[in-house]
Amino acid sequence: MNTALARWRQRHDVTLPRLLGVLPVLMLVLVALCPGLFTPLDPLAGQTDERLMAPSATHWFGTDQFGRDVFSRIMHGSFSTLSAAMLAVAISLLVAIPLGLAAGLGGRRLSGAILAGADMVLAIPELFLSLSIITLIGPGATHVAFAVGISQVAGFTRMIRTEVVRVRATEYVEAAFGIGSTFWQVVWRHIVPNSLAPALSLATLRLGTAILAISTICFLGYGPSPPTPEWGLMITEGRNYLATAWWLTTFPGLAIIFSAWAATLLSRAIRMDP
Amino acid sequence: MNAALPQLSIRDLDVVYESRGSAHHALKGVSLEVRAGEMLALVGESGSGKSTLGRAILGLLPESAHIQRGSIKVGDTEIVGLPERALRRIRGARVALIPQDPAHSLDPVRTIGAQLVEAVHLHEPRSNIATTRRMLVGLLERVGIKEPERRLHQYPHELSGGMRQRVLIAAAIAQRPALIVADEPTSALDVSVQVQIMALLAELRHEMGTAMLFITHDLGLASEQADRVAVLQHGTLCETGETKALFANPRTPYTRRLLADLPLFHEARAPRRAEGPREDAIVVSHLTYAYKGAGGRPGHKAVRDISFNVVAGQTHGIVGESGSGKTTLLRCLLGLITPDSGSVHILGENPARVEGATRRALRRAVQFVYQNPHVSFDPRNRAADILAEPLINAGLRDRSVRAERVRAMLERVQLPPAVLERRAANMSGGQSQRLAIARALLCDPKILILDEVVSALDVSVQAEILTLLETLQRQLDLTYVFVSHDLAVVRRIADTVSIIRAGEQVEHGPTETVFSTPHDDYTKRLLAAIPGRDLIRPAVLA
Amino acid sequence: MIRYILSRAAQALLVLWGAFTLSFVLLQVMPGDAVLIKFQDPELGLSPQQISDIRASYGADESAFVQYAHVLGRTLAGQLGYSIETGVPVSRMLHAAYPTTLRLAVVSFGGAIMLAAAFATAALLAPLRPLRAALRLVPGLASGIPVFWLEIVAIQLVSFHWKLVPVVGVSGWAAAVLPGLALAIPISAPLTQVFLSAAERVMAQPFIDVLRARGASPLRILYAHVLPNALPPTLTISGLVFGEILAGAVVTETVFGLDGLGQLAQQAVANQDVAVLQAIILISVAGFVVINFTVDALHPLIDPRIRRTQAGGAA
Repeated sequence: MNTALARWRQRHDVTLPRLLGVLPVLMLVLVALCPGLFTPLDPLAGQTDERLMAPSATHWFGTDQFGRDVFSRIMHGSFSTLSAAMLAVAISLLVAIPLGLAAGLGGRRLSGAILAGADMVLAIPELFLSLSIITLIGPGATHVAFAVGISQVAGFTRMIRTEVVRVRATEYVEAAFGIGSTFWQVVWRHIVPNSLAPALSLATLRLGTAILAISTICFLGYGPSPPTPEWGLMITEGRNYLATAWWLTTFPGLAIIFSAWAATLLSRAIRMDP
Repeated sequence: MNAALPQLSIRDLDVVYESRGSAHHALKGVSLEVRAGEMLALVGESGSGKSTLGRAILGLLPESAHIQRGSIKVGDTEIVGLPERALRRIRGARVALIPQDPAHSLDPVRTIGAQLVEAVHLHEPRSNIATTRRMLVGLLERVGIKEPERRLHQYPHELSGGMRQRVLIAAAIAQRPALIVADEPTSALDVSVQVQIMALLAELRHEMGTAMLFITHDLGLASEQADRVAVLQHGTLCETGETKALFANPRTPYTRRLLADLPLFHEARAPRRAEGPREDAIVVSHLTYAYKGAGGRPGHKAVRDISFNVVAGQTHGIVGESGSGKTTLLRCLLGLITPDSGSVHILGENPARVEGATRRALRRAVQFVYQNPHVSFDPRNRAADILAEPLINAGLRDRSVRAERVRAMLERVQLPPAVLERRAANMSGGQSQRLAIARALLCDPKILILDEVVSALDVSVQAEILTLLETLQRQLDLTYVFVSHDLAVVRRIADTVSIIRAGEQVEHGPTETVFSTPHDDYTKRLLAAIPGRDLIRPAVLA
Repeated sequence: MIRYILSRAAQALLVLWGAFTLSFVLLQVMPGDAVLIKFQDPELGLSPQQISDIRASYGADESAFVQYAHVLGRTLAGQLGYSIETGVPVSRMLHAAYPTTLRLAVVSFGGAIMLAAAFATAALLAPLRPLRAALRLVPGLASGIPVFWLEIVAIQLVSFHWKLVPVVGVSGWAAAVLPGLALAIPISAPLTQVFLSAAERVMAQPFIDVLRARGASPLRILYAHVLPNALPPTLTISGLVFGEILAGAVVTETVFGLDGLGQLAQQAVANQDVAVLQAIILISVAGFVVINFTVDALHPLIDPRIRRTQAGGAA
């Protein structure tokens, strides 16, 4: 058992830094799934006599204009941000993987058409693209995730295609054909694993970008509506007390940064360097 | 010249690499001297620490390395412990480097002139640009570059490899350094260019009285060029001596083994046992192929009118320098490209014409082994996966049958079963080349195309792989096409040989005939350029 | 060479047309006349006749294809249409708004370049390897900071707490300083990352060692050799950076209450004012395309190797 574990660890190159890199995201997921474990306070119900209180031992991150506990709201808000970011990345991967593979494996015409399309989309800044989609489908938490996911498709497609083209040109792919493997055998055994592994690591990096994009759009007011605890929205609401209650904007921002950094760390941890 | 004056003296040098708490001694107690006008060849296999020594002299050790003990004196200046600023005044001025890879040793976006002017100005910041350029024109002429004025305005990519190396030599001697460290200065060049560069270095050394430390893996080259030779093994200097004496009478077992493994040109291969007449495995006739130029117009012809045949069970050597069209020829043999005219027949089939099952069968019957095995393996695969692939392709579904065949094959290529769990990246050069041969053999081929398969290997490993190839050929009745630039290796292994130059076959025939009585001028030049051509195996090893 | 530039120009026009079409599809076709629903609001007191006049003026009764041809035609003629919300010509709104955004862009771009240069120098030349490795992580971490939060913190600290730069009642360049510098931080992050990885690839090449062996100092190697080699890959993202600045302006102008293109875009989304939003998207795409075209055209001047292959390709 012990040796089996050791062999598994060796095969997948599991090292302490790698495990540490996964930790922050695991923490985030735990908080998102069971925020109640970390805070007993209700994120929605405020105490009218505890309005705009500075951070203290009872309210670690202070309270807002309705007397709601900011720490509790941040804990409960993590689900919305995290699930939306994951949904966004999942949507973009779902569309981009087939497109990228087709552009990398297909003939000149198909590949040229996909790339030209991607270039056209990439010319529009992602935020403008997401905002346009939102104009089309309306605001809301899921819509934001959808908009952000679609906006990232072009970038992902290009990235996957670049990887596929790189792997296709390697000597080991040529060698695989040489020992009698068919085109699809080579695609399945060598091209897909070797091109998608770095692409997936970059996808986790994009999880951080998605978190930022989502909170930006929520900050602009197109995400869920109050009183939902959402980090970007909390910062918008906190702006009215900019000069007096710094904790209303500072802590949700730190939560966003923590999540984005956690995604960065995760992508470094799962990166495969063959 | 003052022969007694040491320009470089190294005493008890220990260099240690440290990474993640573990220390690796790259050099242990190395002491040597190079006198003015003298060339000392520092020979060693990969990992012997010879490049580390070169870097230590220039004060350019990587950050992970440090000098634990010892002294390096250039003239009478102690290098060890010298602050970076003082080192910079010595580098380029008193010690110069001639690098290994001329293709990547010049800044690609600056002109030759700008880079040479910079080399001078680093040490003479006040000198006038016009004077410097005049001096540089003279210098380029001295290193054998024609039209030096024009070259100064050119970029590195507009020059050939040999010319770039001449430019780098010009930059190195611009400050008339007392010591030149030449780190494998010709290993990236063709043999005919190598001869010219080595001759230039010898001239300059005698003319300027410069001491030269010549770092090389090539014993033959060292035997021809150096006044003295120092043999480095695992960071320790195992033998130093006058070149003639050392090659005639090696004292340490390591040097003896190196010399024993060195393929020597004058040693012809042992004649094969007589066999009845056999059919041809490969027939190439009047093969011509041209790469298509821009817009579908015909480009330059890569190979022209090449004809040879290879008898089954024999080895055909293909010798050619870079750009000779070797790669195009091999691609035609593999059926990856279709000849414009002429034909290729392999085992009676035309690889460019066959379709379907015959095509697949032919593809498996002709296996290719690469120069650099590491990059021919999927980095995610372990050796077990690599060896299973050809068997799965052949429709062998039973795991235990596959395991049995893999086990037998490992035995054949002399690899321990433990390698199955490893990835190619964690294997030595020799091991991964054995693995590549094993993978090829699991396709049950009739023909192996071996593209410079021993060029990247140390001589001892090279000898092992050549012996293995010979054994396999006997046991499995294989036909080889053996591409190499090393004529000594070709003479050892090949029955017949084609000499190719600029896409044309200048000479072909039985190896012994071609090598002992060459007709073509180019073949003669190539044969004359073989490093260590006249080297004879010392009596003690015979 | 001329052929190369012409093909690049054709490609640029194609991208511009494609992005225009995409934004048209997203904004004007799909909802049909959903944007015109607001005119049916009884509070506006418009008669059915007036509504149908408005619809006709926007071409909403035509088929999608005719609408597309109409919008494309008037855009090519330099007509950006009228704001659905206010009825003002879009070009007049853009004219009023662009100086604010331009000032913001100049400050943030200049700041980002200086920040990236200073940081890249530090990350490449810092004395110890662990220190360099740590510095190398900073741009990635910096790009994880939401710009709106950064700007809010900047206001709280710089204006309110330290009282260095006022944010209320300022105009012109003075109003662009704090938002521009705050925006410079996330803008500089991708610049630094791309430059650093290009620079590291250059520094791993043998010619760098040869230069060191000639006695060149690290600073000299960095500026005379690494920089010209690592610049082309960095320049390829300048179009992207332009788009990032414009997108950043949406957030920044919202936080600082500036009346620029970003604010205009934000209001256009809020009011579903598609004509305005599409015009702003067109501006950003045009900027992207022009910048990329310029970079492509300049590339051969920086890298002599490109010069040759293109000369060969066009010959």
